[in-house]
Amino acid sequence: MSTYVLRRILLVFPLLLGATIINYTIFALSPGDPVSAMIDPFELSAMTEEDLQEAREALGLNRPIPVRYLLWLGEAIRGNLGYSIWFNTPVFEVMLRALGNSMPVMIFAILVSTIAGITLGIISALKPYSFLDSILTTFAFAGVAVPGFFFALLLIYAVAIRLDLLPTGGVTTPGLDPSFKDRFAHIILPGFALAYESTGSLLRYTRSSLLEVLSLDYMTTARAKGLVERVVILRHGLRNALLPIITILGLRLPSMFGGAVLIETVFNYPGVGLTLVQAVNMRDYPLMMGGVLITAILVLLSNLLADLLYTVADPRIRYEES
Amino acid sequence: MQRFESNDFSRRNFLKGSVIAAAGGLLAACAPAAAPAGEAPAADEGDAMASDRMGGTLVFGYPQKTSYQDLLAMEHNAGNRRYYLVGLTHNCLVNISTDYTTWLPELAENWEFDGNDATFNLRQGVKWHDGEPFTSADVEFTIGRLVGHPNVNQWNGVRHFKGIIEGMTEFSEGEADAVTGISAPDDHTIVFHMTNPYRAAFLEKLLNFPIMPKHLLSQYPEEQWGIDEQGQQGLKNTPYAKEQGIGTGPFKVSNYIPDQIVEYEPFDDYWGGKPQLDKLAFVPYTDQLAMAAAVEKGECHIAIRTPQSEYERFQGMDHVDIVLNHGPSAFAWYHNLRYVLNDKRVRQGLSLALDREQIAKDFFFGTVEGAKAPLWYGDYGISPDSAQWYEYNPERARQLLEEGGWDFDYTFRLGMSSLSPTYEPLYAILREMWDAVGVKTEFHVMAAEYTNILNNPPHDFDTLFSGYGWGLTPGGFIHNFTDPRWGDVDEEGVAMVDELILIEDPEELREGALRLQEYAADLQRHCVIAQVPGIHVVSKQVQNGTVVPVYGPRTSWIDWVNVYVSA
Repeated sequence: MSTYVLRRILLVFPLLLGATIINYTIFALSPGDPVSAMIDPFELSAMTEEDLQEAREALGLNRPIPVRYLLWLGEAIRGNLGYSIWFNTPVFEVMLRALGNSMPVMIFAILVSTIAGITLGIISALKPYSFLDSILTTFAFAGVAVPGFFFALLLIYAVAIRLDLLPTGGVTTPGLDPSFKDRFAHIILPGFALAYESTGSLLRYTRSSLLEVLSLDYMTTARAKGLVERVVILRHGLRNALLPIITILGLRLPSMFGGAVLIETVFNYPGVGLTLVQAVNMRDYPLMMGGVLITAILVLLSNLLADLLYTVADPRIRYEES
Repeated sequence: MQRFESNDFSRRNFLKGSVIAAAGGLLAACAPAAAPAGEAPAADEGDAMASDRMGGTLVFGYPQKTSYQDLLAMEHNAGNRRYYLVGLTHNCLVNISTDYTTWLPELAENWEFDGNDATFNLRQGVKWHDGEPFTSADVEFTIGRLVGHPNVNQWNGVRHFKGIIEGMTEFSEGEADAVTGISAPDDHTIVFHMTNPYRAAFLEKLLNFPIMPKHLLSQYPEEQWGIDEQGQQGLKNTPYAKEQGIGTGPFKVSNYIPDQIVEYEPFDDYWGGKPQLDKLAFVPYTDQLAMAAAVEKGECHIAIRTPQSEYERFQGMDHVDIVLNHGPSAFAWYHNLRYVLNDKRVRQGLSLALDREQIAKDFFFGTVEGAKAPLWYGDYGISPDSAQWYEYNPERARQLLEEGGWDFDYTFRLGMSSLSPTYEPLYAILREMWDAVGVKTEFHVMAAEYTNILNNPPHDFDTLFSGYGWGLTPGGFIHNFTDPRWGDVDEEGVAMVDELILIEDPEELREGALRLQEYAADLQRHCVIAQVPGIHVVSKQVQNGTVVPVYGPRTSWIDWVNVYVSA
């Protein structure tokens, strides 16, 4: 097991290297540069081509792309992700602040979607083709079909504005002292908006996986042994149905980062998604690369975690070397 | 089974651990950040948003991220946060009234001109937020050292004073060690020696420069002010720029989290009196609709530059007032005189083809006026003769185009930075109006290469859609005649401006400004369309703060001292 984990961790490095090469090349080849993004059009009349060239040179943008990449990589290996051109702050600091905002929402969304998705999926599978199953199926399809940002707008209108239960957005309430209660109140709506789509797909996967398992012979055997229905379903049925669900869960984090771009915009929530969008808009290469690197690490780790979870769900799966 | 239970990495332990880790992670992530050192103990939650007494927390929303700027207060670009909020933390020597007609004292109590010299008598008893006294040395440092220093960002500042203050050009180009045209006879007097007897034109320049604390900024070595090895402007990388933002203004920075919030607290020793508010929070919004939702719920008290699409929605809200923008800027087509627009009659024809009142009504929802002249704000009024070039007259437009030899088979190339969905209907209206007089059009979108293309003629467009600034005095108008990218310098226009900025008699100046309008309107180097829209929403909880938002250089547009938020 430990060998497997070590091997997987070692595999992360070439994967990361590939991801950074691809991303760096795409970013560097895209039109525009930070200098042109920085200048206010109102100030254009004061700029000369020499001014622009000087600014590019100062930012090291005149060097060939492979040289710039190798310089970046050399520094990144030493733990220096560089300075964000736009934020005028170390990339690590910018990303840490963004992650500090995004992680509570993502953890909340993963908890909500996992608990709700699996629970509702079990209920749906136990009452197949019933009225309740139809309602849950409708809910699941709506979750997949309705764009997250639209659901987010509905939540803002209904829960924040009409019912006045939660804030419309932001990380904290301006003017209030920092408190858990206030911070938590600000993650509920974006958390639910992020969780909605995941909940629907998890519900459907749990339902179909469990339905398949419920008809197998060992379920009949378990019941024949006299086990109570709860134990039959949870220990024999659900556990065997978990493998595809774990795969879906492992893919949750990457999709959360993707979804966060829109959700964070709608809720004015300055997290990873919003920061990376801004980095792309402003051609802030160091921030883009740092952001990609950090999110890639998190995604690879979540995949590793999913692999480990397989062994928990199914003891037949061993990662020992033959 | 036994094999699993005996393993340290048991299923049960793993699940337990996962649940605890997730819950712990959520708790830790939601835990409040530690308050910055030295921060005052906070009030109870219930007191924070509003109270019956004067005070409260005013939340100010703005659709732009704070990372665009820092707390340095040096860059005073149009459209950025500081353009609206610089007056919170810093003061300039002078200010101007909201209607742009009267110069007002700020850090300078009064001033006098004598030939090429301008003497400013500074306000006494003024303190910086850290308690240090403000003196003429701060002014000398800001204008004489910081603004023009060769290592400091040259994009914004020094050009305003080059050729105006003696020795500024030489200093900024590294040919002199100091600016010769500034002297401080005593702690409360500063004298500028100018190259010509400038008057209002010089005061207008001063509006761009908040005075900075010498005792704080001079502690950073000048060789570190420039671009550092990380490619960063050294001065922007200082604790002053990132945390302190210390000025002489009515509010001081208490908490700054980039792109999230800037919180201010009242400055007890402000020379204009201690502000009534308990706290002021600046919240940047990436999405204007998110800002609109915050306004609707009452979480945001003043929201500026709200989307036009929400205008009717705000009109239906009982708890807010709507204040429309006023200011010396507009949308315009910058004509490229080097190609098909080199005949003045063609440019005049294109202008007369546009129904600006219709555009103002249909696209801007009546929140702005159509352009009536190229220079039309403040003390100078509108020349009736120049206004005629902004009337809608398609017949005359067609006639002028024909007289000017316009090739009606040619496709007129419209340059723009992007085809944003917000402005697409405006472009469609403009194209339709030109199409009605026989001018075919097509878009040339530059996207991220906008600046590069603009600065590298020849261009592949005939006219460029952009923001357009008038300036507050005739002196501010000169760039309309001098930008070499769009054509040769118009010597006659430059001569008119050069003459006007030296006139002292207000009546004579006004008449000269009207003549300049007339000349510029006839020349039509720019086809002005309408004011830059600004729909600002102010909660009725905001009391005593006469909100006069402007899109132009003023140091404040709200009475920051007396404004408060009622329950």
